Amino acid sequence: MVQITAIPNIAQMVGVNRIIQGRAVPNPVGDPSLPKEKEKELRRKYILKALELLQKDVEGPTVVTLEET
Amino acid sequence: MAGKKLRVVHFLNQFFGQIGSEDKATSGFVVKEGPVGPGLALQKELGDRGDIVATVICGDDYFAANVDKNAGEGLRLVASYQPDLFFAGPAFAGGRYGVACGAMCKAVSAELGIFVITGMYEENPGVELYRKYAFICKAPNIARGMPEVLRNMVRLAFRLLSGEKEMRILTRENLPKPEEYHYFSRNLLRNEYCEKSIAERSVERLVAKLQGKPFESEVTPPIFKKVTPPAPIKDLSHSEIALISDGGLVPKGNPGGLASRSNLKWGAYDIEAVFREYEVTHAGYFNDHVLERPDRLVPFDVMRDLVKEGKVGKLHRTFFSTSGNCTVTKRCGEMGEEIGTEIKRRETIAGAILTST
Repeated sequence: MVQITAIPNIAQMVGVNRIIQGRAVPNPVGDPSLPKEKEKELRRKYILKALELLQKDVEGPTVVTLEET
Repeated sequence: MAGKKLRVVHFLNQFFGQIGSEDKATSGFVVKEGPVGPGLALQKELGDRGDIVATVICGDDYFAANVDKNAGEGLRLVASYQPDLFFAGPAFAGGRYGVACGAMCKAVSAELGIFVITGMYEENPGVELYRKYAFICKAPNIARGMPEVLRNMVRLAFRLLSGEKEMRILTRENLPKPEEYHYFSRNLLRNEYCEKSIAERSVERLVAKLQGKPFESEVTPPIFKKVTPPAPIKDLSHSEIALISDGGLVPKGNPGGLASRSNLKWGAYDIEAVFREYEVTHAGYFNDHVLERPDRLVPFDVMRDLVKEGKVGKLHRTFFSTSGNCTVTKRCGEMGEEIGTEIKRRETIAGAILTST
């Protein structure tokens, strides 16, 4: 399981092991300020990051943000 | 209350009620007039203030087979004696017995409005289940502690009956201090008067902590268990992924009755159906963006694309939904376990993405 949340430190605290920093509280994998197509591209980046983390070994609670490679 | 002799009813299991041992655990309700077994010591503690007019006895297994129904049956028997006070057990570490005592107390208190007191060892499951509904005195895990527990149970009863209000509690309720009367705190939140202000108390504790001196916290945060990270997914292009969210996305009409605050339920919904007709039941964040485009919460559009492109094997057709606004931590943990169990039960799902608001 991988969790996408705008408040990753809460996820870390409760022991979630794979965490992606989400966009914002009201839209964790969205951005209403972007045009529709750009927003979908952004959402795709978040999901690909999440799926990448699902395929990686982790030792404990790990937070990954979109900027990281 | 002074002068009037209390009518007391006592509840026991088959063993303490002297019906038999484990061999008689399936025996049903039996009523005996007067005190039985430990009831004799209980009567001694009550002295002239009260008479145990009846002892209601039930086998542990019989009661456990249907707790609510049997609490109802027991309640009818108790009520027929018009008691002023009710004692159950003490159950010590006996799990079935503890649950029976707790359930009897809950039913008697709710229906007859009298004080209900029992006794259990702290790890007895009856404590967590019934501490809100009964006064549960602390007991050791062996029956050798019987005389002391009975003494505490009666002392607590007399204190409650005195009607004395706890003046340090803002609402001035009849709630004796758990530490003083040796019972498990009932987990009722009440404001109290203190001599020192919170600023003074906080600083005092901080200074003690910095000096390495002992101090007692007033509020202790919950401790979360470490979870061993599951192994990574090996072949995503042949794996089935499920989507989960706590943002409160539900089918229109909210058939599962999820609450927008302090929610206790989760649902498993056909994802295509939800995206056709939906609503959001979560009062803890600004819902408009998700209402406008629910993919912003549950990435259905992107997942569909990834499956079409062969990057992900399959998207699980049901989406697991709950609403996480001011939700009780314990229930959150339970819901997580339940959803996890259901996902495993379906056998085809290799991984899940949880999107949270």
